[in-house]
Amino acid sequence: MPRGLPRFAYCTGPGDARSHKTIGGLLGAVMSLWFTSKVLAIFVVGVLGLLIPMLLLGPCFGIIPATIAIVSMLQDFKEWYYRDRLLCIEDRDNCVLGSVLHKPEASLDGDRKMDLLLAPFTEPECFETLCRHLNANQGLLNTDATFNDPQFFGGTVPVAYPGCDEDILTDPNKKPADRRAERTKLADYLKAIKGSDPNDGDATSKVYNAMQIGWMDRLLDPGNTNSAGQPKNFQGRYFRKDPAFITPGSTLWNAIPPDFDPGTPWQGTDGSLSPLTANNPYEVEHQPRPLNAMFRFDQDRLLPYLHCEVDGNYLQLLMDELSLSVTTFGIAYGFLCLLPLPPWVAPLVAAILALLIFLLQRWLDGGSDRGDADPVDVEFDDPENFGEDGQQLDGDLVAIFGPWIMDTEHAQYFEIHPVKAYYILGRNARSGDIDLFDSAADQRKSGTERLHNALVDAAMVSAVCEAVNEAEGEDPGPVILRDAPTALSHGLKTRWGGGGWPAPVK
Amino acid sequence: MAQLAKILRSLLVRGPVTVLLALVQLLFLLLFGLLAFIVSLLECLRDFLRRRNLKEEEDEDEKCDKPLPEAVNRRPDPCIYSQEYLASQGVPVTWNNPDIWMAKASSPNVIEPDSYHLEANTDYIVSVRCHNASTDLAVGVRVRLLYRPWSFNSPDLLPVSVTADGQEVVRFVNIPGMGATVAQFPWRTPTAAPGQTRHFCLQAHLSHPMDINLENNMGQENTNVHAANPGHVAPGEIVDVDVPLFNNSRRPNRFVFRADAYAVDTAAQVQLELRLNTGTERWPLSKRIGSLVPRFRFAEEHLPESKRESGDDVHPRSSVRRDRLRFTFGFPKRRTVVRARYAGHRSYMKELRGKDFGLPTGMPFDTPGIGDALDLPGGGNHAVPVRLQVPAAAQDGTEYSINVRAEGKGGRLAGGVTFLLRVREP
Repeated sequence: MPRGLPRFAYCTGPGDARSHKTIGGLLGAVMSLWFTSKVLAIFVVGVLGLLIPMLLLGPCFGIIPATIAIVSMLQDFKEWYYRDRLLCIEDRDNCVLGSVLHKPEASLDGDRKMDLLLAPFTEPECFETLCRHLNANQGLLNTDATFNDPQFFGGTVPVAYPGCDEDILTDPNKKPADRRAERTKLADYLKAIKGSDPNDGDATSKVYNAMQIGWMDRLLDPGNTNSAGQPKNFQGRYFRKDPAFITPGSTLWNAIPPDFDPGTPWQGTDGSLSPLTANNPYEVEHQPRPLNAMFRFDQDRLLPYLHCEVDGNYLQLLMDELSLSVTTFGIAYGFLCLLPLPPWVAPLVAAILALLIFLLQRWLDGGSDRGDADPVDVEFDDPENFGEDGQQLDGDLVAIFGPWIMDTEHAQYFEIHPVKAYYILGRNARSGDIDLFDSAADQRKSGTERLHNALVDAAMVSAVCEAVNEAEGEDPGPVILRDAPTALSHGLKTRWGGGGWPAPVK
Repeated sequence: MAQLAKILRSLLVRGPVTVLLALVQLLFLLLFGLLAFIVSLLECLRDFLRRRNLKEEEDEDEKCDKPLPEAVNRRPDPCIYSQEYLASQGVPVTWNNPDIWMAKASSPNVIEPDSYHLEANTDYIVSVRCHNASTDLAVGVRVRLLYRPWSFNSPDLLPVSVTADGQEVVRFVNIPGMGATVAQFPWRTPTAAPGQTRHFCLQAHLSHPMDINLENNMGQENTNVHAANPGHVAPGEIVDVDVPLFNNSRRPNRFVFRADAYAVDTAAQVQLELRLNTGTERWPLSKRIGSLVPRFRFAEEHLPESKRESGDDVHPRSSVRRDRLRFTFGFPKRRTVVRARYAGHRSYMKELRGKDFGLPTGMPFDTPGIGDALDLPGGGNHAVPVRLQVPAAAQDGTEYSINVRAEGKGGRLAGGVTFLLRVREP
């Protein structure tokens, strides 16, 4: 059903989805020039875009095409950001279950982002598996040839692999501080082999990607089972491109960069490195590229996660405020330059006016919080609502419902975007400073009363998601009949539920 | 060529149109935007004069993280037939809970007619029907089932079932909005000496982190466990039972005892109607004036989502997508949040309050030796003798459901028991 949630970002199909590097349109042409040659881009924009119109039409009239060109680019950017940036994976909403790693927080674009460690994986299991995987590739990690990756490394080992204690979580002689120190050691090592490219902040080295892909292969291995002998890979499609859900060879398959090579012995000794490369359709430099993991990685906690976002529209407001501001500048400048004034007056006054108009519109749009996906301060018809708002906490086990997409930005990852419904199943938090990094014994001690990732199995995901899909589908009618025992079980009273009901049609 | 067309469309259509609309926006902004700004300054001045305090008010939002937008959150209301909650609303209650029933584990499809005639040391499956009184789905509702010595209000509670390592068995269930789901627990009834009848009270507890009503989450069911064949009563028989009463508060309390013959009417239907509670964004006058400035915004289009076609390549068609996102130029609207609930229980509540559920003719009720009331010190307890006499004219097969309740100060329900008396010829 259409819920009362504003939606701003839409995903698009293969071929239409683009990153900012392949954006298209006027802005895209400028961007392409920029990636080809920065000097050429500055020359073309400066000379062809601004200077020639000014010379041909004179400064007073030449400002008109310049204004139109800049506004066009701002609008191109806006349209790309909200319409062409995200690639649809399925043309329907999806449901995922997992534990919240970070409280939802505001992004630069006004979205509220949260990260999910998908069930049934737990922090201890992820650590142990990563530890085992890196140890198994110790030889590879200490070989110079592994780091023959010119974008990041020059063919020499940047730092020796320090080894990792695979049994530290089950060792009764080790303390929590020892475990955390071991994790920090591993995290520091991974940061060292991550590499950095000053021209591309999102890019990571081939070996860093390969270690993550091999680690994920172990986690998603059908042989990795829970205590009932059931595989744990039932939500694996959100971590790795899955041919069971995306048809190999289809346009969609080809629109997602390769993230796995079945011919590589990922779990073998020193086997976690694939020679496979392919052109990435969302990148323009350093092609062809090695495999690209489709999950995100928490570098401090060493966890894979699925990124989820609630929609905001800060960038839309900003682009429109800038368009208004540029138009103001153009009009003011064109008018003032016709007057007999010193040449510096027109641009200065026009710039001041443009700034004032920008600030006024910014204030009207809501100031610094404009466009954020925050709760709306509303006044209800019936003020008798439930008390405090429900808080979203670290460690909550939640079901999230929304479109499954791939962000063409940030080196391409799967996401749920926008989040349309958020169901809390259980509070997992143990303290204000949440840390799930407990040993298996600690987890057992916490009992079965707490619903957490490790207790989730495929049947539970299926049951919860079926219920969520149904609940987010058709609503019951305006009048329902219930028998008297049910009415009594309600307590002969009902209260207002969550605020996701569709707005009444007036 | 497509790229060139896109560039030309940007330069010749989108750019000029946006500039023209921006000019319109500019004109309105100079008129209403500046006016809104002046009004806003006056509002600030008014607020300042009202507070007469230069110190900034504490903003609670700054202290903790903001919750997610209300439209994203789902708020369920898991519930069960809850004697205490219903009694607090002045309606009669029974401890023969309609949401808790049993069947022998050996014959799980044969439901016991009541929980008052159970066999001792026997495996039963206890079913707990969990309801959801919210329009939102409840997922992961934790259900606990405990039992305690039969009493008005004993504080001792034990889980009916534990795992091999001694941990309480709990269930997690999903309950549709305004729907119900059944959770089941194994329970081996305690042993009873030959000829003995033991009384227990089962308690089902539901919990959920986002529960909007915490008062309707605990329901009780009285059980009787018999050593041999479940007992029956004869016409004219006097039933004498001692029911422990606990004063769980630290202060002395005076208890009175009442009996009635209320039983849940399973045939009646209650019509519930959907109510919507619309929350509209607060806009001061300055904001309202500011809203007269037109601007670009996302079109409010709610097209039905197309479903995945099985077996096909699942990416959406571009034509479908193109129809979805549209920017319009117009006046901003206030944002709204809409909550819902089904209402209509009141008429049934009135009906229950108005009915007489007095004891059947010929069935006296007494608490011998207690008198009108029983005074208990804080933390004290007492075995209250309850006496009921089965009517002499009771027919074979007649069933009586008699509720005896203990009320503390102010008529507040302290606890209660239900006697299920099935008559058999002596």
